[in-house]
Amino acid sequence: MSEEVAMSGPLDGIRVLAMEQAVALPAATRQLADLGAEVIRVQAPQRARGEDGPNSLTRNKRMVGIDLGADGGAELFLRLAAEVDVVCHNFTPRVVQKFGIDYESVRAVNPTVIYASVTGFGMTGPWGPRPLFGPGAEAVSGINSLIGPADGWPGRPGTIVYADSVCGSNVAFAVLAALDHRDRTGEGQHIDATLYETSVAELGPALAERALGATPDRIGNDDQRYALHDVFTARGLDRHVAVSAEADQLAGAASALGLKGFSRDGFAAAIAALDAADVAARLQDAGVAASVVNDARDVVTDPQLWARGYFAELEDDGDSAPHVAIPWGGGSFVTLESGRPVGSDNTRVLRELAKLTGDEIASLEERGVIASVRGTPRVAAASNEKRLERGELSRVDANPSEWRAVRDATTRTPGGVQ
Amino acid sequence: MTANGARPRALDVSTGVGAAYAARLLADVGWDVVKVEPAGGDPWRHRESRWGGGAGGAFTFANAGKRSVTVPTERLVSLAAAADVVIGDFSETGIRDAALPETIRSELRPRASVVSVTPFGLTGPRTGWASSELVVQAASGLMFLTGEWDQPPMQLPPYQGELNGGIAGATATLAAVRMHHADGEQHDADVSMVEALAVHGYGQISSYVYRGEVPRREQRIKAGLRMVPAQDRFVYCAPGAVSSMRMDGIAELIGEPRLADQRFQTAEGRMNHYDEFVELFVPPFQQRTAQEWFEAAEQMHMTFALVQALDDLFVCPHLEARGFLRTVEAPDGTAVQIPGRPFRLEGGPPEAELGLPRSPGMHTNAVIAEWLNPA
Repeated sequence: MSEEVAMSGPLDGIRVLAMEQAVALPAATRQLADLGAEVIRVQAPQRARGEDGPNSLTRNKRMVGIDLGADGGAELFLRLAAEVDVVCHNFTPRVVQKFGIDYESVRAVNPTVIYASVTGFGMTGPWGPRPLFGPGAEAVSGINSLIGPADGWPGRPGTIVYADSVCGSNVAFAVLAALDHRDRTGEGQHIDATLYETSVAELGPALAERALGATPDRIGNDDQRYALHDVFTARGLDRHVAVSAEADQLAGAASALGLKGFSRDGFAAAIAALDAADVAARLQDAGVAASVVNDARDVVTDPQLWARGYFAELEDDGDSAPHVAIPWGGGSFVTLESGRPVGSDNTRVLRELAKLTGDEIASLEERGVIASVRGTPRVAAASNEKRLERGELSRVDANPSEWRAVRDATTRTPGGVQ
Repeated sequence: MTANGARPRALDVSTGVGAAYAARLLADVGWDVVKVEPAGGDPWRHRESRWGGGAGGAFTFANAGKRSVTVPTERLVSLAAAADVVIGDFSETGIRDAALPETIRSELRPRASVVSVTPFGLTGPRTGWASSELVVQAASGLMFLTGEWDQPPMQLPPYQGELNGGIAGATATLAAVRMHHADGEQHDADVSMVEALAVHGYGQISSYVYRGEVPRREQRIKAGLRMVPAQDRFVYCAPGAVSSMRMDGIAELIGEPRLADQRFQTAEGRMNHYDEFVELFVPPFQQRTAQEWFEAAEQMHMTFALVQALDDLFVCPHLEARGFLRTVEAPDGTAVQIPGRPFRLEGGPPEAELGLPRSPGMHTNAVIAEWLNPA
């Protein structure tokens, strides 16, 4: 973070040391950074791969490269851990014990530390040692079993990072709760958060419904509580409208689309001939719950989101772009800055926090305890033509900047915490 | 803020799941949470599930660990003044469903914050839109990505908008409390379920903004092969990201050496030879049960996973060992198992007793005595 950035968020003055990789924990600490915390991301330099850039999980973080396996690496980590409020990692239990950076070791140097372990299955229990990635968590938690048509295979919740990102939101909550508890009692704590359990928690209501006699399974877009509950295809390329209506709303829904009475086929045919946004607006005017099934462009140009100040803009190379930031809205409490390569902040962090001299830092570099990485290679994606052909992309817009006009035309009445 | 060491208080005036879950999470981390119900009780006590049946299940999950009061509006305002925060769904529909006066929000003066969790938020051109869980999922951008590329988008599991709104609401509450600590002012929160859910699509938003790409539903191509039918049920069979999938190892595991061919070694190669890949990859899984594949893969250090159904979770040895599921009595008296605190804590507040208010208003006198007439 550059020195001129003035922070004014609820976590102003809170320091977070995150030994992190992948998605779940970085998503959590990105939220903490957006609330004003100073987040120091530590990772092994030899494992760096394309972490920098404007659209990454490393934005607004200080980047430090430490090889925990090198002689003195763990000691250096503990020296930093002694100076922060929150220490977190997403290693398996075996790895944190091997490196000597487990809760007990960190608490020995920082008695009131808030320590968060973010793992697949947890620091305890029979499955604890097993590694697990987000998509696997969606499978084992039961999320996949509830997505898709009745006669189809289990489905996935859209984005590949769903379980990771949900876990990250839970971890951000847990850290704020732990800070609140520390403020009141002076006690630290160990948060043991898992991809598995935070995903199962997302099925909490369904589990209780199951225990009370429901039979949860894949049922496409149906919902027995509504007379009409489905997704209809509208005019144009890959355009759809979601509609849920009670029985006494069906006549009004039909009338809104110019039909004399409601029949499912007639309703679907009418929508197929209309623009999705037009359908949603007409149905909403009739008091029927409906929305365009928003694609990425719809979200980025949504006047509702811009009116509420949802997006935070990130300036990079003289250009700006909207980003999602705090899940509870209102953008970010800090100025967004691009993620930097691993090790970019080694000197500054080690001087300020660990109080090391220039000679000591140079010695660490020589011994391979710390390192910085420049220009990490990125995996080349397939051509857009190929991805369109395979159905990976719906389309590619040549000029994806209509959001600017929406932004400029919108009066702001921000959501979030004011 | 509540005096040092005392439990902070939240007054939950919501009906539905989103705001109620925000308050439930605060109960999970040691807050004293009181739910205000209309005289006849929260209508969600009797609300059935997406599948039919299961009445009161969502209420049971979202309101465990709270006490319940039924009070007239003046008393509600007094209780709010004795609370640190008030949490509710202050949309027009939410206020009506909770049988609250239209102007209730402006009358509430808790110490730190009034927190609203609603489908679209309390401001903006769509604040008055009719909504449902389906509509929230559609508006968030996540539904567009869920399903098969050549079919219409699919809904996610139930209440994902509500629950993500709840997590965001709980986090916003704690942020507002910290801001109150700093300046002594009341900081209200206006949380939108659509916005809370849309966060998980951050990658798709970046793809569009920086490259104009509109990602589509792609699970059959990239992800369908993460789950294949074994002899008895599906097994999740990809070690991490597709690009790092070790096909030579999987070829050995499932006894199909042709999969070790160079053209299947990268995600790109597999997609370019998709039909051929599927023909070689899927049939061998019929030879063993999902559990057998899972264990065999573990021996070879591959992160397979079982594709579990909800019934599997009730008997999961790992969840049991960690005490994750807790037993509560639903409104009809049935003992049900529900997820407890979504993360384990060592130190910190003990996990709350997850009792459920069996009947509306059963704690009215006790709460009034504690909150309004302390000894």
